[in-house]
Amino acid sequence: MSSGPSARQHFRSAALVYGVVSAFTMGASRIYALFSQGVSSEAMTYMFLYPLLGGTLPALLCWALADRGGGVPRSRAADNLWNAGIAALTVASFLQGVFEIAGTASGYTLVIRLMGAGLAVAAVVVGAAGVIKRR
Amino acid sequence: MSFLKKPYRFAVVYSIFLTCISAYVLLDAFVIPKAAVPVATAAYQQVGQVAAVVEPAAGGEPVLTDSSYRDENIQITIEKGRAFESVYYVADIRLSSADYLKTALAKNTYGRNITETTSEMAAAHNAVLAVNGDYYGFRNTGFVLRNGVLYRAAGKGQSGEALLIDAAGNFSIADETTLSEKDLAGMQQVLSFGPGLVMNGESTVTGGGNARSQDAQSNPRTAIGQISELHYVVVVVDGRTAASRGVTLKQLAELMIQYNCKIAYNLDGGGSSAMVFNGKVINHPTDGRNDGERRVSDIVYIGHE
Repeated sequence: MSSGPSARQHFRSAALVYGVVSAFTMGASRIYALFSQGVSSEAMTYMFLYPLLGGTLPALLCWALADRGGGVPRSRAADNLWNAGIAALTVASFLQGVFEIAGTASGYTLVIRLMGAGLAVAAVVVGAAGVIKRR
Repeated sequence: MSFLKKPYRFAVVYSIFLTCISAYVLLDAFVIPKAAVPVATAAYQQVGQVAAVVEPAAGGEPVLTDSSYRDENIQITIEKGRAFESVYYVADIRLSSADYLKTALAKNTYGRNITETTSEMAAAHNAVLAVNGDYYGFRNTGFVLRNGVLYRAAGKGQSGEALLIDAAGNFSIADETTLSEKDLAGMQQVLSFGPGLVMNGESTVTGGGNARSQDAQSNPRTAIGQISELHYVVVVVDGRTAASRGVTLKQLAELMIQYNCKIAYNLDGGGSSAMVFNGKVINHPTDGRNDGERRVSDIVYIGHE
């Protein structure tokens, strides 16, 4: 658990990495659309929202708040869980898009989505527990 | 756990894990063959022959040309046409009995990712004429009843129409969201792709609103329709080439009406669309990138076996 200048730097890096991932997923969905014979999938089109809303924006927010008050607490465990959750949700959205465009379905996408949501919830719990413990 | 505490190690391990999971999910959906057992066997038996309506060929031997076939029970005429900037093939089929309108599964096995080309299945069953079916094995839902055997009794959840063919060979189209197993009594075939194209001689394809995005695209298409008792039309439209653009579902419905169909249904299309007559693929199957037949789950065919 840490805050301060190193945390500020961390959040800036995280925002940058998530920004690159958002741009990559947006580009990937556009390229996939070129080969999908006019068939579209909302899951594929909007998969970039997971890294953007779940990564870039929170990281930017934390970066902006890093110098205020007691700073923004962070822990490696919570970070890892959150990143893993966002990655799983993004991958699930991509796979869902692939299946929708192909005209088929797989129950595993729901499993991966639930796994991603579970990891994100676990990250919040671990992070909150760290804050409480710190106080 | 101390291994994962080092920078980036968790990310690397998790990335490998997620990649493996994704690869498995994709292989499971598209590659790994999985045979399954029917829901019910021999539950929907045919109810006997209908009187012959086809004039016997001279001497009882089949009369075969490049574009026609005739024996005492089956009469088929193939016509090649052009409409909507597309090349299409129409098979006009007259039968003496619904027994000659059949379906077949790839490798005679029901399951997912079990596939053969339309021509391979046609050859295995000595089909006079065959077209691709509904590619049921690509999906987990949709009723599958073939030659009287119910393989899958799971309708499409949100929307979908099924083609029902009864023992007398008559077509009907049913809403799969409300279709149940008991509605299938007396049915010989159920195909689940759709949507229905023509009902009572009029198009049932709407231009906007409920049309799925791919329905409004010009694509290769396969459709089957009924003109009257034991009189059918099968259409395959080439597409995704410079020579043939392909058609929308609305255009396909217009084509089926032009050939006097009272009821018509859309089968799997795109790269799956293939018509085999007397052992030869007569259309130009392509998925837009690669030419040639796609391996599919099933066919609809006319034949004696």
